Amino acid sequence: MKKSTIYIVMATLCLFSNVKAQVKTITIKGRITDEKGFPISNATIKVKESKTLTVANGKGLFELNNIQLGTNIIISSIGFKPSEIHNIQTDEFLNVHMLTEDKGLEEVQIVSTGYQNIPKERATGSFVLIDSGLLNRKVSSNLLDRLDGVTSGLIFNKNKLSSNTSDISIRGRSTISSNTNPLIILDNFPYDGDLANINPQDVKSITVLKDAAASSIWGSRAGNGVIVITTFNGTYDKKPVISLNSNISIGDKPDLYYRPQLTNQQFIGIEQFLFDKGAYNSIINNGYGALSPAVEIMLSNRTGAITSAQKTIMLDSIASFDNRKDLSEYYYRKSVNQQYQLSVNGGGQNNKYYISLGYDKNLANTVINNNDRLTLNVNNTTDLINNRLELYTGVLFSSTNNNINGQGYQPRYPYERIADQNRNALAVTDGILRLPYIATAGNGKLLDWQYRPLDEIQNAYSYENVKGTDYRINLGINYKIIPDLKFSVNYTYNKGMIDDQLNRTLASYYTRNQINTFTQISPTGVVTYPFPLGNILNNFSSTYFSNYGRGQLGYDKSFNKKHVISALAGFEIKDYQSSISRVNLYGYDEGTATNKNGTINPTVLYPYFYGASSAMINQGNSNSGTTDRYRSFYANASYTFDNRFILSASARRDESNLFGVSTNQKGVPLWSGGFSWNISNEKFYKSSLITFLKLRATFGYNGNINKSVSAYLTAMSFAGYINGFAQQYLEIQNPPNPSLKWERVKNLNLGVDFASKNSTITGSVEYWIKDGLDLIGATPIAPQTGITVFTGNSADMRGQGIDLILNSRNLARNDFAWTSNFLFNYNTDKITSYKVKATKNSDIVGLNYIQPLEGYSYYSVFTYKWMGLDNQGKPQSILNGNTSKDYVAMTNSKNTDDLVYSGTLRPKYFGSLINTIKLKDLEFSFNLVYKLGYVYRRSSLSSTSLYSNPSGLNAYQQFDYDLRWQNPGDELKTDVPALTYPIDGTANNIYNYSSILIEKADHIRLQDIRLNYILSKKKFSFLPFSNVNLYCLVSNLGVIWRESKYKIDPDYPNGVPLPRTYAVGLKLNF
Amino acid sequence: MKNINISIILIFSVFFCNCKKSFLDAKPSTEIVAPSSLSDLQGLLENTSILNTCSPALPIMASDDYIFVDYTSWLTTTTKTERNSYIWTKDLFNGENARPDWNLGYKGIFYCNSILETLPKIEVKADKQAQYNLIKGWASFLRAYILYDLVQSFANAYDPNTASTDLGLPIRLKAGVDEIVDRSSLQTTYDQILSDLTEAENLLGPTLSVNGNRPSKASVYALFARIYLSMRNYPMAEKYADLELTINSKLIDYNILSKTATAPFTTNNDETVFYSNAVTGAYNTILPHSINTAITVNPELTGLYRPKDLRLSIFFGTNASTGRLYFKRRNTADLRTFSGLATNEIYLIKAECLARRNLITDSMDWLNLLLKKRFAPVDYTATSATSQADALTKVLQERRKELLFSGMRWSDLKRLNKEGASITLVRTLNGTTYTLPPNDPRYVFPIPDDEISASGIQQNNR
Repeated sequence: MKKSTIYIVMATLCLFSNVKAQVKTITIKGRITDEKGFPISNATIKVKESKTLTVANGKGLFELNNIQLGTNIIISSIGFKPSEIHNIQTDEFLNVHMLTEDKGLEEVQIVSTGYQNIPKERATGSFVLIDSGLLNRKVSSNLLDRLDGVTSGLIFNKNKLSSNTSDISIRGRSTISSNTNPLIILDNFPYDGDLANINPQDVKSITVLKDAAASSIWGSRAGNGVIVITTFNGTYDKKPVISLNSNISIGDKPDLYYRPQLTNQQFIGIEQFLFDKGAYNSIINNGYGALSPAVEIMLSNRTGAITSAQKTIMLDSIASFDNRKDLSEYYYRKSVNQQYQLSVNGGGQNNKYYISLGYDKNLANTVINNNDRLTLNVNNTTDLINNRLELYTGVLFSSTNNNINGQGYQPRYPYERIADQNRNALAVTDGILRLPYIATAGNGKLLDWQYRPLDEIQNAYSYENVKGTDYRINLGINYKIIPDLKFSVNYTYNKGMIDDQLNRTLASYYTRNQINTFTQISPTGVVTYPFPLGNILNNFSSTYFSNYGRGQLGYDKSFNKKHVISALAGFEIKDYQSSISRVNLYGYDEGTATNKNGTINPTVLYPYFYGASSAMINQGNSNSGTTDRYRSFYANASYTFDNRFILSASARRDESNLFGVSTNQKGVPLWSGGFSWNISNEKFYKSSLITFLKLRATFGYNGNINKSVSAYLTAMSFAGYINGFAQQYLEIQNPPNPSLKWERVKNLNLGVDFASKNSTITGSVEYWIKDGLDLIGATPIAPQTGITVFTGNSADMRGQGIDLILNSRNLARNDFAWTSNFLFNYNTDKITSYKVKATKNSDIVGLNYIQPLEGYSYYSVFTYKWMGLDNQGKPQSILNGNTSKDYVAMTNSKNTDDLVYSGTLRPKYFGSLINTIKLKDLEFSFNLVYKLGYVYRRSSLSSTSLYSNPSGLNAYQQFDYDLRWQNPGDELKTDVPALTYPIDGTANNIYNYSSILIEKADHIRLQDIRLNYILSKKKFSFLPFSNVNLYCLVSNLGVIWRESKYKIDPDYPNGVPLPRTYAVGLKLNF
Repeated sequence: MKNINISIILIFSVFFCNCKKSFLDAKPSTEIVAPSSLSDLQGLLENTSILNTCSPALPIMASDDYIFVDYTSWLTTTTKTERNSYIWTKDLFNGENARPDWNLGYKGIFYCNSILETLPKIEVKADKQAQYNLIKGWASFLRAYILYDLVQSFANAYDPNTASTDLGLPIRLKAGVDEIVDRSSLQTTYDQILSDLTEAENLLGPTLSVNGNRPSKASVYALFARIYLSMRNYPMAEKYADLELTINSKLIDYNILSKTATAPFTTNNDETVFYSNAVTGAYNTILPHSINTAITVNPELTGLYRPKDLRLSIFFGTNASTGRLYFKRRNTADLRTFSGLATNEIYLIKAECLARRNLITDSMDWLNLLLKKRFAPVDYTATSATSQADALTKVLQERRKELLFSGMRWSDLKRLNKEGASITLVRTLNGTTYTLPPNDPRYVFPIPDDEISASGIQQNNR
């Protein structure tokens, strides 16, 4: 190991010594500043003749060695007009003032991999840069939300298929059962905390690494793509700039009418029907089971307590009330989010700093629920030893506080009422017990057993408070050993704590019900409480910390006019540890902080107060922890020849504590290579239409991790693993698998970057293939081995697609500009090998993602072929090629020919179009987001949910109720089956999973509209500040075009779409 | 300048060397255990839901302890295997895979092998030697017990004349799942079972554990007796029955059991010397509960009990709605059919072996010791026999009455028919009569299709 280090150092030194033997030429040094004299870092300085290139440092300083006399140089930087200096004759120090430019599109972009910053034009890989302007287009307290609809190749997964689907996918999916989340890098290192802790206003830019050349430096964790977040730091030689950011956004209440619900008359009709059929008799007979208000009335009529006329009046009376009225009045409200941020940014000759303080306060759209966040970001960079040593220190701190009503509310009947006309709370059934039963149960010796949702909502009797603290300390040293060779050490310590307390007070229904359920009253009237009297306190706390350390040598050199070499090599170490603890306290007393857990015998079955059930009172206290360790070596190099050809290569070896794999197999070497050719810099290239044309090709491997498998025999045990002889037992989790490997993703990326004359149109097209190899999947093996399915590296899949970015300046007059940014993505995926076949058609239809079918996308939807209704309103499908009503046989069939492939749940095509119109200081923009070429499964009438338990949550929310088959002949007009009693659940499933309920999800939505106005002191000298940016933004404006005739938002086929929000804000710079 | 450079290189080098080997050996989650200590291995052995619930159910389902109440009940069983077992169809599984009768047994053997492979890697301190012996003996015992259970279902009855050519079972002695083992001869399979059992005998202590799943020498002797009896090696069977009875000869007095309870037995009881059940879950047909209205106890079996026999009310209940008898459960409180080892079986083995030695009075004495506990004192009359054949018949009939719904009947049918008992099983279903003649190849169940297709081992010829 030591040897190899020395070798690397020697090799780089050799390169360096070679350079010394050059012909005498001039050296140009200089400092680049803006109009006010502030240094511009990262400006690119290009020698026109030789295409030699360098980048100005943080102080705007640059140096070009070995330049021929009479050279012309071009200096360019984001947001500034390029500037040229001609015919340089001597070694001179140039002071270059650059002029700000209206935000153009051709500026040199600096992308970050977390290891180095590189000008995008020097990269061969696929990078997407989202700068702070684009990031701040949206208003949200969550950073990642701001990438939605503005990032090429990145999609937010809305209508998720399985729990193993991440919120964000970069270039589709390349694993089946392993990790699906992209790797998130915050500045130099992966971020292990919750991204909700990061204040988006502290973020300067985000780079998304899409292909192997871009991301393979992150090795075994880069398989799902990498998102690199770069936060602000200070600026050298700059007077402190104080800015204030503030905004407020208000969101509508959720649309309670989005999901249709049965009218009260229809619902009561169903209840009457079931009542007459005797469906409630067993509940009525047991005396305590919950009955709805309408059924209570029907029962009173049956027992003769009320007349039929009275019954009609009473039913009409309850039917006159719509539960959405109470929901809207007492439960939902408009959400209000406020953000404030104050920052200072500046620096002196030898140091620069950035300080920001942020505060967010959000009121959720259900009452009581709110959260706030305080963030502090302080960092400082100091230059020592004549700019040779740079020290960086930074602290990121966040504190969050989340208040939640521990008892949510969801009505059970469409006519449920929680308040009377005087706003007094009304008791409703909780779905378990009957109101008349609890009124008399225990003859007054029990606690009040009534459930009054309004009291629970307004008083938050169950109150949950989640406190989070997260901080990150960054230390960095950069040392220039010789001008071109840099050594750096970075260290980050991250720590986060979450303390979640759910206090269900004795006043809460939950606690009263728990206590009453277990209360025992002896024949002599003595009351005992096996479930202790007092609050129930659920405590959950989690802590993590991580240490990252890195040592890196970097070498950057341009010489001989035509050659630029940039190389780095390093070593990195990670130690992450987390622990979770759960403590539940029963009979808790807030005043004295005491509990009565000691009085509970957890092994005894206590009988319920009602019925014949009994249960143990399990305290469920537990502790667990995880440890993640990595040790990695990496190297990366690129060579640019004559600004025409670029070769790049990257390699990384990761070793981790992936459980049980012997040391030599713990490591995985991953590598990539890339090539690009700037055709427009060739002499033969003459096109005046396309003035810039660059071809790129990269290839390489990334890895992906799955900690649920192991190479050695592992077993697991949980608190509840107690056998019949009261002994704790273990269960074998993994049989030994000595040949286990990490998953790999093979990447190919072919790209073209282009720009037309004057950069009127710029953009890029990329074609990519991602092959998931050695994916963890299941393989059937002989049962004599002791297992029937073996989980190992047995599956493969392939994804491919196209990413297109087009930016155009449609119009540009003096005060008027219209620009468009268009994103188009095409992506598909296919399982190419999966060894286990689903056992029956109902599994393919319902759970294809568990044992995905070969030859189809992971996100495929399969359905029973719809053959219409028969003349009794029964659904019909296909069994072995023939129309059938043998529902059980169809669900159990293995004949996949009977199924229909109905498309995928992921858009094949997606993207966005942002149009920005600028008139003087007023800017107007809107973002249209489209998703095409996919489907969703529509909800329709379910007789199972309606008839088996009409008072089940959401059972009264049924689509297509009015369209159901009711009379012979209806089968010609409708596809909605008749409601059948007794319930035929299998027939119901055939319909609900049939091809008739597949809808095209293709749609275009207006994501947001934004208006921005800049007031600057330059124009209005009376202003007490240098400029202010005023903006307003309306988000979630909804679908403006959809392929399907159903007015359903395809992103939310089963839920309720995000409510519209209105935001106004300002950014003030002093 | 140079000094700084050198020191930086040194710092860098320190970085590289800093990483100790143990750094990457940290356990990623506290919930994961790589079984590496004696208590881990014992934890695996305590997994009763795998290791003590894997006796094949096929022998129970194919035996004549029960009948389906009607054709519809038969038609609506959950699995085809249940239907086909009842009428001894040649293609027993009819495409159904993942049969627990085969799979769970081999899963249990996999557990045993994993434990036996890990044991040598553990350094045992002197004070842990007893636990080490228990674990090793336990795993060896289990491997023998499970393999014997499998042999009863998937191979011919033992015959010393043909055992070396009869097909036995795959003998798996390693945990590695990458190895496929072919079927051994029946002789080799029995040799393996007996050698595992001898190993267990040397390691396990004589004291009966209060936990029925934990074997002792008594369990070993009881299993030896059961195996030798099925091999028709009666002297050895008697020898081990005697050895077992020196450790535990207690019987449950049925007078003290509830006649009305749905579960009259406790799981820890005086008779049980090793606790084990038939596989559950997949087959509702043999669920010992009143809700199982598809079947009823074979009237031919209930007809064998004398009217005052306590077992009639303790083993069987009457379903309130159908009025039919159902099997409650035996020697366990669990909702499962007991297949383990208990002293009542040992008494019967002893009595049978004595009868076979023509010690008629002794045989009847042993039988009566058992029967005394099955009747109220006022109702008890001693059984006697007039001849050797009569004694044997009486013992075997008592075996059937005592060891019902356990799969023992199937082994006995195979064994006794081999000796010329000529018992033909007959079922009538929907007007069709099905018969299973003595020594029919259908006494050996086919090996499940998924095993055959994945490993290519030889199928039984039915």
